[in-house]
Amino acid sequence: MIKIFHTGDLHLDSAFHRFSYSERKAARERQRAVFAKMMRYVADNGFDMVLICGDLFDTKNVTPETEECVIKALSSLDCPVVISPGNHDPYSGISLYSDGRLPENVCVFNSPEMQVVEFDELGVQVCGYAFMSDSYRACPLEGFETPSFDGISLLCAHTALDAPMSLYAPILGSDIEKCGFTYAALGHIHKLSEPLTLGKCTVAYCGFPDSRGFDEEGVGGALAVTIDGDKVSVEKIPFGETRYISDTLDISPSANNTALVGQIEEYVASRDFGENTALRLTLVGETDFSFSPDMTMVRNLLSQKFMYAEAEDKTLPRIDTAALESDYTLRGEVYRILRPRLESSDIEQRRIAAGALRTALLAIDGREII
Amino acid sequence: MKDMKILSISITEFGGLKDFNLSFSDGLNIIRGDNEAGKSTVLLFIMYMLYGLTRKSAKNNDKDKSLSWSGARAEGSMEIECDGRHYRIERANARRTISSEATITDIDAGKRIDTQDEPGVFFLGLSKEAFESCVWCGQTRVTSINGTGVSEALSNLSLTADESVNGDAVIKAIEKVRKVYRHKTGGGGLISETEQARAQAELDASGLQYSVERLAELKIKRNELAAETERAEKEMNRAKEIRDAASTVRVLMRINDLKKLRADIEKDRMALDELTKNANFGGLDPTDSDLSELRYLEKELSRRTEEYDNCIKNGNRASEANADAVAVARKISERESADAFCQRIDGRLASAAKKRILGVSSAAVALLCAVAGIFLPVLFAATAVFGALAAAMLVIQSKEIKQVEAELNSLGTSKDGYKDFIRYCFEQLGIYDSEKELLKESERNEVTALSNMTLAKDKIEEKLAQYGRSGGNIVTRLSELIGEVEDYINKKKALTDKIRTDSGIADLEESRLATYDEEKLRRSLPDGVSESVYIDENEATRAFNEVFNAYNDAKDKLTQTDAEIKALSDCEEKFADIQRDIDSYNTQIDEYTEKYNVLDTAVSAVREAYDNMKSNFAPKVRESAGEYLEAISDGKYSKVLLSESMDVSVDASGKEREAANLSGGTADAVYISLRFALVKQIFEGTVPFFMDESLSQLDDTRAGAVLQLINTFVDEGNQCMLFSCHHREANICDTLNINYNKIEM
Repeated sequence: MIKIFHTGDLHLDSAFHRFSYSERKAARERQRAVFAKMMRYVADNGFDMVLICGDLFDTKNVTPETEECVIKALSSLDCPVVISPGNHDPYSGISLYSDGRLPENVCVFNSPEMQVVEFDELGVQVCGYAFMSDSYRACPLEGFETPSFDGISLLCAHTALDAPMSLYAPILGSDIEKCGFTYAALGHIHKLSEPLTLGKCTVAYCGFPDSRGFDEEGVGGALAVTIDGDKVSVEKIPFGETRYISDTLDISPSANNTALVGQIEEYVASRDFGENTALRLTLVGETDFSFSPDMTMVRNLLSQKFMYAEAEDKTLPRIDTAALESDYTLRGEVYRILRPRLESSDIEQRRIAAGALRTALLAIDGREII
Repeated sequence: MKDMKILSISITEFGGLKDFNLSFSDGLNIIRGDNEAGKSTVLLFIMYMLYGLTRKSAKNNDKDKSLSWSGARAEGSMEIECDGRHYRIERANARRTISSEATITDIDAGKRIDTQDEPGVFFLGLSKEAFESCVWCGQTRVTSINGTGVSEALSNLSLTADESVNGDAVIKAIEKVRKVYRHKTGGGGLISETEQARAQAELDASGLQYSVERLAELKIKRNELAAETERAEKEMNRAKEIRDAASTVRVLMRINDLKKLRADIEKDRMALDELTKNANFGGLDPTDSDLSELRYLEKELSRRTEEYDNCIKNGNRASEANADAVAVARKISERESADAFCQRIDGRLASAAKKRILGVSSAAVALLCAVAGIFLPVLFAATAVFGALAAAMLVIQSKEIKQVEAELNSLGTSKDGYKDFIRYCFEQLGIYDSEKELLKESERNEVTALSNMTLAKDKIEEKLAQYGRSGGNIVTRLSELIGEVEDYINKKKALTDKIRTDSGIADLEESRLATYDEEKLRRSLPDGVSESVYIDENEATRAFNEVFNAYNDAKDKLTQTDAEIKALSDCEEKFADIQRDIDSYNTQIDEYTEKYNVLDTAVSAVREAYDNMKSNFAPKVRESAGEYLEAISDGKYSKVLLSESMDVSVDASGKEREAANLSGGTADAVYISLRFALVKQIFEGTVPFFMDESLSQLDDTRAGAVLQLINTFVDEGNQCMLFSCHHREANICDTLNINYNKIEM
């Protein structure tokens, strides 16, 4: 039986351009901390091998601190580590992959052609390839025959599975099936999904280890894969320190910005978001006719409470349409012009129409247009 | 709902009124009360019953009015008749709250009406604003239309059904705000400005993108340069070691050479001793002078021997003269000298030559005579004579020639070159004579030479005996001795000289090397440098300079690269900052664009609504107003018109008069006509119409005109509540026989 630690897509030294300078430094430090934590876990839990399936780094400009962290973390392991460079960290762009500073237990694929490395003491052979630039249009498995081996064959690959037009080493599930791997450790798609079974091969994407954006909601982690003969079991181990959350808040009860502040404070207090949380909050509901949420104030308020915050206003003004329906004045006429759009199934069209109606009514009343 | 009337109100608490009840009748109700009696409060209460209190009631500030006096809550009820059915409206507000819910009870059916609408909407189908602008007329309304505002108020009323709403002004107001976001033409506005800022940021980003990529390349290059610099430094240090070791090696080599020299000197000394010991010269130690002496003896012997041999040779030497030539010369000299001989021969040859000439000439003459004889036969005799002469001469000269030739041939020569031959023979004769003299001398010398030679030999023998060399050929022995002595002396001299020279060199070198510690020097040698392999210091210096320059080049490149990296070090952060700015701009643009779209939609909707009202609603209202106006002006004014500039005017007996030029009373009449026309246009049935001190500023005549208009209105079945602090309205009605219900507060 062997235990494999499957990770990838760490994107160390990401740009984090949404953040300020000091926040970016802190974010990158968190990334390094997550990586170190993962490797400590590997060391403490007796894993036989680590597979890093691409995009370990986000940029060719790897900082010295990150290089030092990676070298130190990988040096602390006794087991072999196999790295398959991805489109963000192609082999030819990362000097750390080739300048000999990585410890000896680390093996990095260095060719776009399929390569095989054997670990006789473990009874494992690992097949893989390297991105040499930020794209790889061919299918790496085309024409590849897995060498016969008295043991387990694994695939460690950064790829877009079943996406034949992809620019990122498109591999079909049928290709994997033909090669006779026991387990295919994949990277590139960040969304964690359930492992697939293709023939006798279990295929899994490791997902993101730590959130970097709102498209990575949830807690990041890695996969602990246990292979016992033909039986493969995959378990997700959470490691993520950062959370990105998208949520909505119905501000109908708030009649003005002061009340809105109170409602937001209450919302934040009730949810126990924890540290290192980024929030994208969408305000929904119906607001009083003369009230338009001050989004600058909302964003500033949320920025004080979260690592990063975004807010958008998707509220609709509350309008007495029944009264307007029978209003004979210009008000009613404007309402009747806008009614088809107010009743549209397209919410954006409804919002525009509602905003237009409010604007018109405020203008008709000689009030300030908000 | 078609027909509505207010029957009564019951105020529990509202404003300054408590437990106050009022009933109304159909038609005109004149509610008279002194100031602060609560007339306006009653009106507000009716509005409160129909619409509650809202923030949007800013025009009348009724919220404050209703709650400010007692601070207590508002509560009451109102009974109405609508389409023949009786309803009760009840409403109550908690202290200092705005919101309230009205309950509507169908009295006839005895049940509540379940509706979310406000009663005013439910029964009248009017919003509060529409109610205010339609069926409610405040005390300032009529007077405000006098003066410069009259035309606008009437235009607004006729076009938008609200005298305070100017459609064009509304459109302009929205357009003004819209322009802030984007100008209709020519760019400008927040959206455009933000787009420009974004474009600039994107440009900056693409510039920085290059810097970011350049930074990545530089970092890779830097690693390579650092390794190269390290390598170059090692090479430089090694080259320096070698260069610095050159002098050490040189010194050590000198020390080793000195040792070798000393050893060589010792060896030479030993060789000298050996040479001297092994010299075989009869115990003698020959010197140069001895050698000179031996050479002299050898030379002397050689000379004497040569002398003797020469003597012998001279005596035996064969004559060098040509014997044949000597014989010829002797033969001639027996008779004559060489010159005489040659003279004689020359004479004979000359004579022969003359004879030949004569013979040839005679032959020629003979021939001529023979030819001439053909013409002159006499000449044939001459021919014979000359012919014979020629023959004789030729015979004689030929004979002479032959004699000379014979003589010369006997001597071994011929007439061609005999002179040289004769000269040669006599020279040989002279040589022969000289040789004979020498031979005689040679014989005399031979004896002397033999004596000298013998003497020389004796001396040599004596010398040889000194050197212990006896027996054998003397010359050979002497030559051998000389050779050996020479060899011995040369070797000895060479060794001695070498020893002396080497010792001098060694001593000097030793003194020069005295200050050096050999072991220390040896220890100071870097690894891999041999003390016995010469290091060309120039070459080592050249090599060092080469790697030194290479190291400095590498270091310079590294420094330059570091400087470039430093200059670009913040480009990633700047890039990220710009990316963040771009995201922010994108969000702003989206928001601004949405706002713009809202405003644009509002403008379009208002414009379309306004156009619709202008086309559809307003003409009907003006038509109805014209009817009202005609009715109360006895036909003087028949139509209410609207000019292209949206100014209201009236048709005054076929002439158009602008509202601004109308009298106050007529303007009032136009205004009220339009109000009533609006009501008529909006409502299919009958409605209550409220006027609060509307006539208080009018004189009696104008007031009368308006009351007549009101009478026309109520004759159509409508209800009118006229609130006034005066008795005048009632009096005028009495005067004009207008029916009314008087309510005194």
